[in-house]
Order: sequence, then structure tokens, then C-alpha cells
Amino acid sequence: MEKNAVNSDNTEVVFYNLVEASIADSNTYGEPVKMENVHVCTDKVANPNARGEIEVKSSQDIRGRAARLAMATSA
Amino acid sequence: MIFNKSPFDDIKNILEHIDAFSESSSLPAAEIHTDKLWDVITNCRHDIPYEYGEDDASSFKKAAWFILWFVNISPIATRFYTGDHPLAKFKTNAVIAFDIGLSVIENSVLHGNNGSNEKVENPISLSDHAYRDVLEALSKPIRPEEHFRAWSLFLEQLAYKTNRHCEYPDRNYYPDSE
Repeated sequence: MEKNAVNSDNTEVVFYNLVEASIADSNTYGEPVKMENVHVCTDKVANPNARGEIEVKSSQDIRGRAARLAMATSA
Repeated sequence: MIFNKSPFDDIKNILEHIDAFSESSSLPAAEIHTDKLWDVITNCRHDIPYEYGEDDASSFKKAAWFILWFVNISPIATRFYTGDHPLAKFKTNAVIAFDIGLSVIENSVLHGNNGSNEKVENPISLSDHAYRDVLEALSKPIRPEEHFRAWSLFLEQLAYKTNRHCEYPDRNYYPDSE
């Protein structure tokens, strides 16, 4: 496990391949959280009243897009 | 992707994007200042310089506002590209911000002033040359308030390249031929 981010208040944030992360969540602030226990995307709702309605993307969509970017920008 | 109801969801999605990017690039773990990332999300969800407010702003405006704040605050501390990599001279934060910005626009639904509802259904594309110019522009000092209009207009026109059905009708201000 690598520790790779530190908040200004020196609370460590562990973020490596989403194995574990401690992020500012309403219930988990400052506490290491197993990312698998964090709902990513699936239960999110974009603002339905917005004029520019943004698509809700799944975790798989997001990771796929980022992987394509990595491939496209590889030397 | 972002602009979810909860800003925490935005944070998680951005972290997920960066994580997948670094994993697919076989890069070491990215160092991210989460307090700065929080500032990005806070800023880009409020005070968008649009007279009808955040909710009514188009996905182009939302994407532009996000990209500009992300690059301005630059939460990613790791430099992804080094040495003679073609993107080494550009900001890492610009690469990630621009991609997330495009993902905001793609598949968004535009509710036009004329009552139309059009989906940006075709992927946005640009040449290598244009892509590097974009990254170069984003690697210069960015001031979101000043650059907002130009960037939202640019993103709009970029999306229209492959999504002409979303564009308002031309009025021949600059016709191709006389």
C-alpha cells in the first residue's frame, strides 16, 4: 500500500489503484475506507433539471475512458 | 461523471479516472492533493459566470468551468510525462482535466433556447495537432473567470464537429462561398 496524498491538515490519504482510499465523505471523513465499500457511480443521480444534462457514468465507463486516454497518449 | 448531486461522488469519480489512467499507463501511483481537489469541485459547482446560474448552464459551460478550475488549482502533483515524451512539456493536470471535461459533454442532453432537446451522441474527436495545441493553451496560466467564455465556446464548436444536429442554425455571417 502506498501513501500518496496528504491533506493540508496532515491526514493521510491512501490512494493506490483504488484498493483503499480515505476521502472526504460525509460518513468517513479522515478514516481509511475500503474503496469496495464505497458506492462509486451506480447510485448517483445527475441533476435532472439542468439544461445541460450530464450523463451518469458507471465506474466501468470511467475506468474505460481513462484507459483509452492512457493508450492514446502513450509515446 | 461529475456535476452529480453529491460533490463527494464527483471526487470519487475523478479519483477513479486518475487511478485507471495511471494503472493503464503503468505509471506509479499518482500523488493527489485531495484538499485541492475538493477546492476544484467546490469552485466548479458554484459561481459559474452565467447569468442563469449553474443549473441552467449547458454541458459546454460546465465542462469549461471544470477544466479551467482543475488546471488553475492543479490537484495532481505527479508529473505523468517526462523526458522526450511528446506530452512532457504540458501540464499533467491539463491532460486529465480536458479528458474529464469532454466526458461531461459526451452523451449530455442539451436543452436549447428554442425548446429542442439534443443529445451529444457522437464522440468528440480532434487531431494530434489540435490536441497538443489544446494542452499547450491549458499549460499557460489559467484564470477561470477571464477564460470561461472562450473555452466554453471552443468546447461547443468542438462538439459540433461530430454532432452537427446539436448546433443552432447558421446565419451565414461568414458563408463559405459567395
